[in-house]
Amino acid sequence: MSQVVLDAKIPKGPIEDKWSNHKASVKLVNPANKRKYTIIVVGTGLAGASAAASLAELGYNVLNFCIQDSPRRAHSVAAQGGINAAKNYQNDGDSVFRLFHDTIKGGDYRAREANVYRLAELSLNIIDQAVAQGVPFAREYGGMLANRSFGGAQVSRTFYARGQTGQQLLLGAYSALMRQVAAGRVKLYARREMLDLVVIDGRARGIICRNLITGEIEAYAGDAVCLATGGYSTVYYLSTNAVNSNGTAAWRCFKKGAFFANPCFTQIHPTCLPETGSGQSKLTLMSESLRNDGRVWVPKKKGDTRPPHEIPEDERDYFLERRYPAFGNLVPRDIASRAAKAICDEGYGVGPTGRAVYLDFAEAINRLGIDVIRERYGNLFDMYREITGEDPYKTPMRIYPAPHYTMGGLWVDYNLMTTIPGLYALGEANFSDHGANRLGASALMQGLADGYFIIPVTIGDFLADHRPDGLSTDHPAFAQAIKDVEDQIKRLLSIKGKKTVREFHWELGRIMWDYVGMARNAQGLTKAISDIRALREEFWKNVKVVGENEDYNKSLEFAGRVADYLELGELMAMDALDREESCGGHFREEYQTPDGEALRRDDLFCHVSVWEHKGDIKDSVRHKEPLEFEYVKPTQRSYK
Amino acid sequence: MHGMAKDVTRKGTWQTSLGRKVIMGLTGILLIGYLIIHLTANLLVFAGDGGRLLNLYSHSLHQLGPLLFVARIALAALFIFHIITGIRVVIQNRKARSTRYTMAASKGGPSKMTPASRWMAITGLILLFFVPWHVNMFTLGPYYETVIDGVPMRDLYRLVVERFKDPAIAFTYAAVMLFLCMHLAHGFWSALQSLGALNRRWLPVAYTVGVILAILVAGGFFILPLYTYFFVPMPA
Amino acid sequence: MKFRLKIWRQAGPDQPGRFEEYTVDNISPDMSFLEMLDELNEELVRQDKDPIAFDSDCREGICGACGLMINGMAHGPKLGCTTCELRMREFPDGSLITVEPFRADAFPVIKDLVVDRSALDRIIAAGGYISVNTGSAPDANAIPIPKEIAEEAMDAAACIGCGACVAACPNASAALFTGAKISQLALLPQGHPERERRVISMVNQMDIEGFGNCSNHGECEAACPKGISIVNIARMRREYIRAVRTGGQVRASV
Ligand SMILES: Cc1cc2nc3c(=O)[nH]c(=O)nc-3n(C[C@H](O)[C@H](O)[C@H](O)COP(=O)(O)OP(=O)(O)OC[C@H]3O[C@@H](n4cnc5c(N)ncnc54)[C@H](O)[C@@H]3O)c2cc1C
Ligand code: HEM
Ligand code: FES
Repeated sequence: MSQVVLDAKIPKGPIEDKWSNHKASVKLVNPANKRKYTIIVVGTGLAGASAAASLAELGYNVLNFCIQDSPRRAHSVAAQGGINAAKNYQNDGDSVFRLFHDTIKGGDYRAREANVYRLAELSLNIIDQAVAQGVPFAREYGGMLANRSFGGAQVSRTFYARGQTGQQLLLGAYSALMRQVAAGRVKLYARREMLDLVVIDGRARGIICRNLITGEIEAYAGDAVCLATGGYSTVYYLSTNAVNSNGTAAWRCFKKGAFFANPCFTQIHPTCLPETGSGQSKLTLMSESLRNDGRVWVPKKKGDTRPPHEIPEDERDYFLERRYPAFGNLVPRDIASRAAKAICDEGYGVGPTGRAVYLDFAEAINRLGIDVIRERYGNLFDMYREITGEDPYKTPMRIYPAPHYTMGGLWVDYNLMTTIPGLYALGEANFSDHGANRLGASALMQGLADGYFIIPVTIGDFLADHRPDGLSTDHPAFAQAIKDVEDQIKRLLSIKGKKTVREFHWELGRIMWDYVGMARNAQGLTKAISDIRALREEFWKNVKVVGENEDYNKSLEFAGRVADYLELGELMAMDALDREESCGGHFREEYQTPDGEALRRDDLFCHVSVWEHKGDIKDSVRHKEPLEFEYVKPTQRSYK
Repeated sequence: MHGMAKDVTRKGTWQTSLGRKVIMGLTGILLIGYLIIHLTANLLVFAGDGGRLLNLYSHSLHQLGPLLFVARIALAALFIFHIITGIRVVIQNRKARSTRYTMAASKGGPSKMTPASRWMAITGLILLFFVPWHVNMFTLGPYYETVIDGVPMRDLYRLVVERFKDPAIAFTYAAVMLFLCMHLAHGFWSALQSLGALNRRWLPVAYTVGVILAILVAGGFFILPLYTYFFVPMPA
Repeated sequence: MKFRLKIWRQAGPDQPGRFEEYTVDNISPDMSFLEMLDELNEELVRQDKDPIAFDSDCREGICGACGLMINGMAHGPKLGCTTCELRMREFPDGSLITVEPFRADAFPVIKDLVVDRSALDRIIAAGGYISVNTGSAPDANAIPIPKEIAEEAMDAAACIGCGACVAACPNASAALFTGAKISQLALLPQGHPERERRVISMVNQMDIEGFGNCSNHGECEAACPKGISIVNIARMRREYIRAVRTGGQVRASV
């Protein structure tokens, strides 16, 4: 059905030479001219901060925006586990090729080989850069960097800074950014929310923001726009993401002509704290490493309300061990998550809401002693106790899967440029490297590769062909975009309905979770689409947004984001319905192997689904970017 | 909102928030040093020798002549430097929070905040009034003469006992020493911390030593007037 | 659970503020303090009233966006805890809870409980970095760093920039915040070339922003959700003394 040819602009040559060849052949901008270019970078997470700092170091004039009061608070700060790099410091056989291979396989063969290879290559430079910035990674007694192993890999290649790797990497990028702010090469605009993209003559030329303190609608012009606005897991309302994480910037670019790739590819993380009831604002992630020693179980009897220690051994169902004897509790994220959901759906779930399973350390404590367990997981156990008030040394943890990461995002070519010339997408906001499932510790790697090393090279290639023309925000396109944004705000404020924004968000989250969550089927997805449409219609008639625009107004901020999610949610469901196969985090119940595993259909779906906006969401058109695997041949995963 | 400071001088001075604390710490520690010497000398009152040693000590100090003068000027300078810097510090602190909290409480835990730390300015101010009073009373007080071992000298002992026999003086003096105790209890470790002398290991040690030192030093000065008032006979 | 809340309301930076009393009911003991405020806000929205403004983002104690004075304590009564992690079970049922914004002249109130902490960003901009351009780094293992040093640097680097240290300090001093960053970079060999310029510049900026002096009360450490120690303040002072003595010039390494 697609006529549009999506050119990923993958350089020629063998995979290991593509990036170096590309670097050697891109056009360059004369150093003296760089300051005449203004580059808008939206987002200050790992991707945005590293891009803004690196572009400014090159001499470009950078405008950098974020929602939070400080760039240091971007959601990347919350990443815990670590960052992968093929340094092979452990001499355990790691290599760029192996990291590339693991990432392609982990993504269930739905990512672009050339991009992933480049990512693996650049992983080396990221660690060097971070260490030079003063990131205090964990070290061995000899003074060398320490590594841990992570899911989906047989080598130890994950670098970490306690349980705060994302924070430390972000602070490194933030410090580089602040250095450029002090040097006057980056202008920082905190507490701004990008609400529209300005496209002039088919090219991205600026953005419209709302000042989140004064409500002023501001326009900024530039020669290129880089979007590094993170993922959209909060479409589910409850997720492990920060409460201000949103899909708005990417979504508004979609509506301005940027194509959206694989919207239905989302990752549900198996070990999160379960919901406790209404009023909850987010779900907290507990490190995946807990599954190394914890055993997952539920009572064999439905609706068993006895406290866990009163349930005898033979009345417990260790369902992961039962179903996956080879991998047991260590099956990959998507499988563990799905199994937990299934067992709770059948009515075996525990806890007050019945939507949780036990993660039990009793056996490990008996075997290894409490001190070993405390040493391995002490801080996680403390965190669990803080939040739940229960002592996991005595009583099993209760866990449940939660939305965590979105592999989908704006479609970009090898240069990270979207389908709108001059608009780039970086980090979690693009779709590029993780296919249908992201491996642990590789999102940090991707965000930093994009920002530190890729965009500074590829953006020059574009700018060299587009001389600075001194465009100002007086251009009528800005006035029009401002008016559109103001009109939407006025509309939201004038509805004065009965239901709060949070109630709508919550309802949308329920629909998404139930039908576009871990396990999907055609019937549910069709229902989701009509439910979302109905909810969206109701939203625009009955939402209650209080206060006024000219103020710090969270109610209004969230209203805009939920309005966008009510559209994005529909596109996610459409994409999930369209993809009649199971792969990675996308599990279509109709497509499973006889023993319940994901059934990929490479003959039909070995492509990126790329959506184009056409007015109403339901009219969006799906294009395909075919995926070719020259170096890693697709195989079926099995964990039995 | 504040703009990005363009005028940040790249040269350091002692007149920044950190520099001033270095001054406070240094002058404070030197003043404590002086107090310890001063106390040791004053304890000679307890010698029970009718003031012989005390007077000899005082006399030997006076023999230093111009050196004593220089030492006194230096001491006064330290004191004044300490006070002026202290006042500037306190003014800056008050300016840093012009709207106060309606409710403020300590979280405890590792906090070192005590009434002693909170009242440094007040206890300091009390000392500020006390010191001139004290100097006026003794150093500049009436000149009694005595002869020891054939040498005529000032009978400081007599003056001290005489003054401390006045209950108003003895009890005021003792009371002020309680405030001195507070000032030192926070002051000692704080001065070391201000000078950057402490680390994970020495910080708790310095804190404890400070409290003990404060009790000993201020305790000595506290007992002195009371002991004199109650137990020391008036010299003939 | 049920609570009475006395909350500071202030329409804007230059407007007068006042306390207002609210009652919340049906609060689960597992709710975080911010979720309790969310509930109150939902109720206020339903009644067409202006919800209480406060900042938050990650809601798991790492981004540093949240921060309230709760019963006179920064981030509430629990040690090592941010406002977003604080659970309502820490408060006796039916009690009165007083909520104020973080107060410091360097942190002007924006609205209600929201304050402007950009002064902390400007302190970092003044020198809280190592000047290394992207691409110019040597191999990560080129400089070995003893584990103990790396750990000590990490202790200091754990700062989330929430400003609780300033809020809790009777003098509204930013010494712990600034000291933590200076410490981290002074401990690591990578930070040595710029150590003199860094400390002088950051301390100057701290003063320009209008923070108070550190009187060594140690309230900052108690309020710090990450338990960052005041030994970092001592280390900053050592760095400062050294820098002033060398006139801010890099001391030739011997
Ligand atoms: C709890 C948790 C743990 C994780 N652990 C790991 C891990 O161990 N290893 C790993 O590799 N990955 C991990 N991840 C994933 C990883 O952290 C993220 O994918 C990655 O940090 C995203 O970085 P980013 O720069 O793309 O976006 P973000 O860090 O999300 O930054 C988005 C930026 O965009 C700004 N922004 C957003 N919308 C707008 C708008 N409309 N206008 C203006 N600004 C806007 C925000 O203010 C922010 O500055 C974890 C994720 C979570 C949630
Ligand atoms: C016998 C005389 C005194 C001694 C031995 C003494 C000693 C000390 C010491 C050791 C400190 C700690 C310094 C630091 O924290 O770095 C200190 C602090 C202080 N002193 Fe004194 N002091 C004396 C008199 C005074 C006087 C007369 C004042 C007058 C106002 C004063 C005001 C202060 C103040 C305000 C501080 C606290 C500064 C801060 O907030 O950090 N002191 N003193
Ligand atoms: S909201 Fe991030 S630390 Fe509290």
